Amino acid sequence: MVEHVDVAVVGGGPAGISAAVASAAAGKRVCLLDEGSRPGGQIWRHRLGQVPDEAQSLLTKLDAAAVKVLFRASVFDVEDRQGSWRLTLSQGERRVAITAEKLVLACGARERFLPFPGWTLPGVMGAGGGQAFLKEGLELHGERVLVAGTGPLLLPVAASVGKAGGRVLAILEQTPWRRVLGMLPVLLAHPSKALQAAQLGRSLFGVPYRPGWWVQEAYGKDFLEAVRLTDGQREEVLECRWLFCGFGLVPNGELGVALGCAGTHAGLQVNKAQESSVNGIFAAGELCGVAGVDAALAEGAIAGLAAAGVWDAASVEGHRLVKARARARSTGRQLERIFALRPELRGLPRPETIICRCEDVPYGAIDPSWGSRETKLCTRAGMGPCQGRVCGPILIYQFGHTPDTVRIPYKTTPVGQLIAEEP
Amino acid sequence: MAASIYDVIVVGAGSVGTPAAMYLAEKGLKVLCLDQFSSPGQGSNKAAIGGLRATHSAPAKIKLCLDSIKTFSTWKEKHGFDIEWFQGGYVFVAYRAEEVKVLQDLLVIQKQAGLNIEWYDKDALLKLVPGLSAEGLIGGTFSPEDGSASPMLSNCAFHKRAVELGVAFRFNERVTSIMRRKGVVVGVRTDKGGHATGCVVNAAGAWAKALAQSGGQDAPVNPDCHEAGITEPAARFLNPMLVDIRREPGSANYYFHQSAIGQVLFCITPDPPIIGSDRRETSSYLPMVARRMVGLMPKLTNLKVRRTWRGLYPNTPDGSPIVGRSKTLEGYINAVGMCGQGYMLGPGVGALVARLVTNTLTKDDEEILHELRPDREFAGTEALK
Repeated sequence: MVEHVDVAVVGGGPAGISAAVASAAAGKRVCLLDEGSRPGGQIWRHRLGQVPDEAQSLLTKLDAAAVKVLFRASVFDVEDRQGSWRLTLSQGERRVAITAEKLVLACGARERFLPFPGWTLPGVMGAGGGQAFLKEGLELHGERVLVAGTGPLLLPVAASVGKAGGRVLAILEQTPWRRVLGMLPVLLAHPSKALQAAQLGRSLFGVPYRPGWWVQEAYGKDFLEAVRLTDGQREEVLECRWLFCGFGLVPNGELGVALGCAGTHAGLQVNKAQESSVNGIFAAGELCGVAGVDAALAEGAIAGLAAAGVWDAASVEGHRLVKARARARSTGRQLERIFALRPELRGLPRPETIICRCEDVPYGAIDPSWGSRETKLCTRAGMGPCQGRVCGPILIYQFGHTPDTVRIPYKTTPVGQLIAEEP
Repeated sequence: MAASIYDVIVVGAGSVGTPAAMYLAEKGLKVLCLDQFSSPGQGSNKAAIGGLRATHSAPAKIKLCLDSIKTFSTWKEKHGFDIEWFQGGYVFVAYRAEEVKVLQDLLVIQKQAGLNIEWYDKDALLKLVPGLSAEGLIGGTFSPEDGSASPMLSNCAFHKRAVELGVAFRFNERVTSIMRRKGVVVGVRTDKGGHATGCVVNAAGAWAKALAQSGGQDAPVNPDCHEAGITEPAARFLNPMLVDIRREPGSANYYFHQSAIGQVLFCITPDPPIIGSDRRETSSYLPMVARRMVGLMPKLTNLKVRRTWRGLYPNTPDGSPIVGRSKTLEGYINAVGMCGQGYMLGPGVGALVARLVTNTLTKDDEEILHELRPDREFAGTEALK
């Protein structure tokens, strides 16, 4: 019943696919697991038959490779069997167990949410979440949409809004102009990115891009009606139906941390071969620190080769990958500096503003002198279905907490699926 | 002269120490409560699943828990702090003749000790607990006055009240030794310094033995590990805590209940026991307890489990707590060895300790203290551990 493979890859985005393809090419039996229903992860999210151009070549390689791919699979337990790993996952109604000699974690990143009054109103959603809805077919029929937050992701989101028939009122970028201009050298160093930006710029022609502005409050009775924005001095109120608001990404490092890998919520630590501090566990892409798709592709390939035992940094291919990784990581660090969150955002929540959406914990219920444990024990913040994945980064940002690790089951799983088969 | 000399120092701000400090302060004493962790309840209190029962086999435990339940059940009306008390009762199920005998023999003792508990036959039990597996069910006991509350909120509430009453709490401070002079307690030494007192209450839970030894005392308390978990909330479908005491390969008993806010909390006892204080949960017991729970109540199968954890049961050789003064060290009081029932025993034990310190013991108290005395022989065994 239990399938055995050489390499199990958790996460089917660019890093995971890249790792799986590399391990398989080295002759290893590989299994790729993903919670979604198609390969590509969040970044290459697409409808069936509409594969994004930039993903095409890698997805074709995955199709051709002898990789067993399990979609809609949530890993809820990983057991250290001293020399191998036993993964238990829930796939639809099924419980599946896999043992693997090596693990590659490529769990990607998720959106960062920051609380402000009204952020839990229907009609307010994460920029990435909004993008996902749009890609799945949400149509906006001329409705007024505000895109806000920070980072380069806001631009493609705004473009998608336009494509879906929405009217983008403005793009609010919390980072000030002088820092946004720091993007220019980045773009000059990456002609492909400059081209993408130019294309986005064309599709966003006429949409006000407003660096140094951010959302202070969202209003509405049952649904979003208006948004109050500021640049720290002036204030404006804009009527709108949708607010897509994203504050960058947070690495999905929880599984690695739970398995004992060194690192933090900001990224797992890996060595030059992408191996974590735990023998036999490799990590690649955003969960080592957010750096984008180029880092994910290079690190995935390195992790895949290393997990297969054939990584050679001195080879021609090795040399290319190391260089690509260094370049992408450096860009990642630059972007992180450019789009660093301004301190004013910390002052947005009011006492009644919800911090933990799962457990309805308002900002005012949390004593600033508490650490993460006291907050959890006294208010239940982080104990809901997301197990702190949404409010954890908020508590880190607002109060400087150290997040708790997730626990078995790593993803909420029905009691019936937890039952082990008779040995 | 030290800046502060405390009347009493309570070591441990957990299920027992926090209410003990609170009751001591209520008596007008100047109390310091020390804990090695960063806030109240971070030893084993936070690992408790919230069951509150007086359904035991030892008379002292029954009496102490009856007193505790009075505190828990009236807390909200007295102090306005909702600790999520829910009076759903406890059901011990019997599917085999051997459990029928154990439970029915106990009924006699339990009733003598003043417990409201009855035997329910199969049909009555199925009516009381819809969805309970009928196959092979013989019957079980039901004690309607037992219930549950949130251990975290309860300890928060006791801590808040204790602070209001003037208790000084110091966290992240570990007691390294109990200081003595000529057989009398004079203070405690900690990793941050020291504090003077003539009376130390050991409420250090799973860490009680080392503390006792630091004062030249013995406390036969050795923790073993239990694993627990919690599901998402659901509309109310289960009132009592269900306890299944059948032993199976890999596990002894297990039990679960639905909390006031709808989540199902469960706990399983590994068999053979895992001795020690490693609090990392494993992959082994969740599949086991999931199978046993679904066997007992099939409709649990679709409820999603959010997380699991491991907690420590500070066990004594006979399954009963050790409470009382030391005969060899004046000013040293044990409130240890709660055997996994510190949460339900806590307020009862805390109030008893306060009466002991202030020499206001009742006749009942004397009996309880005799039963739980530190220098007893530890010959018996608790049937409902």
